[in-house]
Amino acid sequence: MYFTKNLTVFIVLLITATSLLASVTGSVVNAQEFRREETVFVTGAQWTPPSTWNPMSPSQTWGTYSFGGFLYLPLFQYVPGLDTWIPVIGESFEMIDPYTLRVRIRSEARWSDGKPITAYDVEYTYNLSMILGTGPAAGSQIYLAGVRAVGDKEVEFYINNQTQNYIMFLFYSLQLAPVPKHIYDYVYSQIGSDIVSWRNCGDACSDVINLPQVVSGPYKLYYFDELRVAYVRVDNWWGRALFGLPSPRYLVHRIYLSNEQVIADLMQGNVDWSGIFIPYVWQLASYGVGTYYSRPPYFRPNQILVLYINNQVEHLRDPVLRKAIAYTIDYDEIIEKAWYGYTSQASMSFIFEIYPQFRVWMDRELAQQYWGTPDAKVRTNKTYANMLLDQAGYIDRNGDGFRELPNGQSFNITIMVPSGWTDWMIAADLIAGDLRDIGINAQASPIDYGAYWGYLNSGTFTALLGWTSAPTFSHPWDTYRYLLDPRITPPAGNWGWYNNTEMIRLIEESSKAFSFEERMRYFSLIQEIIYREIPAIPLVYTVQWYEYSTLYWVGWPSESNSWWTEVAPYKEYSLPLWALFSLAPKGQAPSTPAWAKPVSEGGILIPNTHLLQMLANITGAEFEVPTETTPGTTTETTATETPTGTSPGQGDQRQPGVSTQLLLMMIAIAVVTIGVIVGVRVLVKRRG
Amino acid sequence: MRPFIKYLIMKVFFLVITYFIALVIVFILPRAVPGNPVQQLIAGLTTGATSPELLSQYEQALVRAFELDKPWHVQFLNFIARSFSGDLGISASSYGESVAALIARHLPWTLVLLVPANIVSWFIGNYVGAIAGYKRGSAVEKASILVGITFSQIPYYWLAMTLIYVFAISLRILPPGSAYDPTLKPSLTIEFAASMLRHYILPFLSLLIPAIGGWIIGMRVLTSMELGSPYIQFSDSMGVRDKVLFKYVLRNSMLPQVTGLGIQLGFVLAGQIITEQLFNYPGMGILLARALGTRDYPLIQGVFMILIATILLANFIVDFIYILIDPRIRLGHRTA
Repeated sequence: MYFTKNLTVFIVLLITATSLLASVTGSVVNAQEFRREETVFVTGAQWTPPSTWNPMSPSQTWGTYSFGGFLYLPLFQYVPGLDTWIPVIGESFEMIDPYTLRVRIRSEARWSDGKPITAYDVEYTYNLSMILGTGPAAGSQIYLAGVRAVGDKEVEFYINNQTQNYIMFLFYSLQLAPVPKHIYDYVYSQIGSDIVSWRNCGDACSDVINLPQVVSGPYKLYYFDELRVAYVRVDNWWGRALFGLPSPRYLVHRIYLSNEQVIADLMQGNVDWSGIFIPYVWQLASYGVGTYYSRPPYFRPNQILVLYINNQVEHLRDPVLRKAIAYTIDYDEIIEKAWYGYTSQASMSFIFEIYPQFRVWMDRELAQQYWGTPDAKVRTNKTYANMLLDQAGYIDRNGDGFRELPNGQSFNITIMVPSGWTDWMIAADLIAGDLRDIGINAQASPIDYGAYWGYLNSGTFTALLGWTSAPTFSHPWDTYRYLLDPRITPPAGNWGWYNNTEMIRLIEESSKAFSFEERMRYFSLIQEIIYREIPAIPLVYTVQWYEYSTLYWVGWPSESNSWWTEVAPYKEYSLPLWALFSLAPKGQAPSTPAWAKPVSEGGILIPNTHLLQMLANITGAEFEVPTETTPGTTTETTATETPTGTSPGQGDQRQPGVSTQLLLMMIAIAVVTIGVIVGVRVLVKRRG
Repeated sequence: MRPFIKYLIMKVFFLVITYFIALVIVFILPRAVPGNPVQQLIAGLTTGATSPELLSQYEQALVRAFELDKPWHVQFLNFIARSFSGDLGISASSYGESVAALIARHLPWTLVLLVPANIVSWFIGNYVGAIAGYKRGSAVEKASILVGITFSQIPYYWLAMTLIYVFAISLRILPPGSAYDPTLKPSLTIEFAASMLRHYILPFLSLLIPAIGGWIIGMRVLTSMELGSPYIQFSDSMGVRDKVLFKYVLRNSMLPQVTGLGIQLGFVLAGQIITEQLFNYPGMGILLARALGTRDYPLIQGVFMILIATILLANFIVDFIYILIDPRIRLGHRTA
């Protein structure tokens, strides 16, 4: 009894004391490990506890290589938004004969331990990938016959003559990220093929083999725990003279469990760079939160969001049905309600026409003929959709309000989306509603993310929302292959389980065509098949989520600072890294990197046309593309940017009414509780 | 003492059987639903522009690494065999990190949050509840009922969101979430301790307040019931002092609450998924939720293996504490 009483009092006192102590000392914290003015906090790319920084591993923590990486840089890197290549570790490339690509490695390129990056590292990386079946060159044996160092700084890649697929050959060769041979060779000699689960975490964790982390990029691992992974800048990075250094000394990825927390931290300046979906993002402008565009669509495009209708389901394969579905979907409504106007409608041709350099591959006459628009964007027309179905014999025979198949069977379409992805859930709901508008029995079905992949990979679904891969230098070839090649199975591609053997021939042959006319001819053929069979229905562009806070850092890439376009922290390879090169701490003037211009303008960027030209020369074709060269612009109108960025607290949209009331309520409850406890004690004492 | 030994052996036997059955269920369920850990990892790589061949090579490598190409019973036996040597395997969603290390890193946060919240609320709630039950009809009782019902009926996630909104978003006097300030590295310094405390207050309160209400309500009823028992009536009419009576009542009505606390503490390891998620607190709840979401078989198995063991042991120990604190049970065994 006494024990309980005293303990209660003690606990109440303890809580009060700790709260007071915490609030007092909380305001004088100054021994910061990651000083705010030296650190960029990023989030949105890593959702699980960090674990491995080894490019040879089939799955890596964000920052390593394949997925937003900057520890291991590629030789060259394609930037879709600029339609150019950055020569990163590589300096130049050329096809010295129809079978051989020769790459020169920068003479100044060094590993972080001071050893030069050589052709032998590249050769070793390729060979190790071949042995392990993982790593940067995994799966390349179909396209590459071998890689050989022909000197310290010159390496040759040999095409596999069986396939002679130049596109995939260059995709693998140019973007290969070497690992340090002197480190990996040692580890491999110790643990053999277990090297795939070696964590390569330097002194940030302990593993079977502990070696310092040796990287080629401007950051290396510094520290990690279950909430963060922190990278520290390599101040004597070899690329310093050429590229400069990224501004933040520390790059810390914060790992969140929910988007709400990210938004709260973004508003308070505890996150500088985020890659998450935020509804009504413009409302955050008063908190100093910016997006790429200051007006709709606010964000840059990433991939194409697709309504995949399972091609293995016999009765759903009917192109008339699919055409009706394409016409009944209200694209504008989806863009407005599910994505707050963050995106725009995609073309039925699956061409990323939002990028000027890819627009030329659209057969406008064909598009006009099939869809009535030159860019193959469907204009919603429910009357026409109804008419199509009526004519094809999809009629409601049993009076249940839904159409049956021409053979009288009833059917339904369930659109699966990962639950919790609110934008997708809304979109699926709207589409299902549109389908019901024309008498198709349809529902949206949000399911657990794990189950979503399960159904997708086993082909047991009627319809789902999914995506295509992001465009590469060979677009639209890459997208057509990803989308339509029956030799590929999900999740590697072909999510719609499309099976048309004619496609194999077209994809193979078009990979060898390099004159403009020839490419165009193949792409027209493919587009015609797409329009005829409608293997899937493209809806809108997916978005590169990118919100930045100007409370601590300025100079973020944006429409008014459009030197850089790949801004989502989760973009592939090392694309997100470069966004950090134009930043400056608040109060200092940011500057745009001088190297980030095409070679013709005194920079180092290699235009993609140079590469296509090289391929045309090899195959003896004429190459002349009528391109529009205004990269980085995806909107017709450019708004004059109003300077955002207010000091914390300013423009703070508080509603004192509600919160003060709540606070008073809570204080009242607390007072009552304490009163009750004290009163009870007094009463008990008195009675005793 | 012989019946007691028999009782003990029986208990242990059932404990082992239960544990084994639970493990089998935990092993089968994640595999029975669609999706597997490899699909998830590969899916993460499809968000950019990667080669389909690379993806399928990675997929094969991962399938081999997690033995998904082997039959279930082989996987199960391997898992059991390895766990005897303390090896719970490698996580899939955090590829390369051992399951044991992940649990070790997340467990402290859950313990720090839930054990004090449970114990403090238990003491406060029972104390207030006992007084309320003892002083039937008094103003104290009315107040406690009001407080108890209000507190226990507040949805804890709503309370959590309200706390975040008021203290973190509007007033900005406490951080909205995370376990400590992102600019600090965990260390034994005043700064870090202070930062931890500041981040601790809101999640702690969001768990404490509803729990107190629950204990108050329960304890009040138990105490009232105890008051009606003959020995209390007798003692009361004999003029035994209030203080002494209250002690009797408290001790006897506390028994079910001890069980309750034991069971609650047993479940502590499971963490508090929603609270942890709302406050971005890296505890076991989140680890488990994430493991289930990513179909991380090794992690799911590892977490549940420990979790089920703890819950079963907690119940087992509570049974024995009961024998110690309640002579009636002891006597019952003797006469049986």
